[in-house]
Amino acid sequence: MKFQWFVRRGLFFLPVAWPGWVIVLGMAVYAVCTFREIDSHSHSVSDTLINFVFQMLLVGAAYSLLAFFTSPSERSSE
Amino acid sequence: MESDDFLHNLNRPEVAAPQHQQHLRMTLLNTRKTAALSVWLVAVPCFFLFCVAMKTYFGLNAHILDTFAELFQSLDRSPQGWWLNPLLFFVLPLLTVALNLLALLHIDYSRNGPKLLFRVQLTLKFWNVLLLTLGLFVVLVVLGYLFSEHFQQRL
Repeated sequence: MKFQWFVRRGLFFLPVAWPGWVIVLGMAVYAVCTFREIDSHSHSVSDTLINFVFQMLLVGAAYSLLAFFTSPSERSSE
Repeated sequence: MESDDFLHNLNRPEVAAPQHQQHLRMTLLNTRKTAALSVWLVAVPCFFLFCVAMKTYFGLNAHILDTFAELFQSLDRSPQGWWLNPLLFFVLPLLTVALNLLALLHIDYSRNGPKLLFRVQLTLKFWNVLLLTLGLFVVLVVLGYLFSEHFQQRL
């Protein structure tokens, strides 16, 4: 079964089908909730940002991994 | 009638294993797509190693580096986050190495009678080679660290 939920544009994978958009929306909601949670416990702005960026890199890695397997294979240029 | 006889007497050509069936080119993964994924997989460990190198070897004391180091220490101490550091510093870089190797390696094989000939080609794509090297570097640094921390001389 071939999924075509995302397409690659440079470094990022963009959603092109509704499951892809649902995943992106879920990520956005998770990002907002995470930011609020981190901000309520952190002691400084850099503390908040470091923790948030770290979380977003993890989410970005998971998202890219998912998008990698659910995007169409590209024609190799070599 | 002569033409019929002529056609009947013609020998049918026999196709003996066409060349395109003998060779299978295995490009397992696309290079650009793999590179796009690999950047995300090695971003965190590379940033962490960069911070450690800045602090240890160049003596840079920045609050942002300390905060990042403290974050990993707290993850290491947390009973729920025990799996995160091995995943980030070993599994994901190892996955990067494997994916980029699959993208860069081409394996041709051909059958010549009883002999099976393999030809392995490595395509040199800058970003894939760079990311493969980075992944390998992270894995080796982590393994080196583990070895040096747990190595004990037994007398």
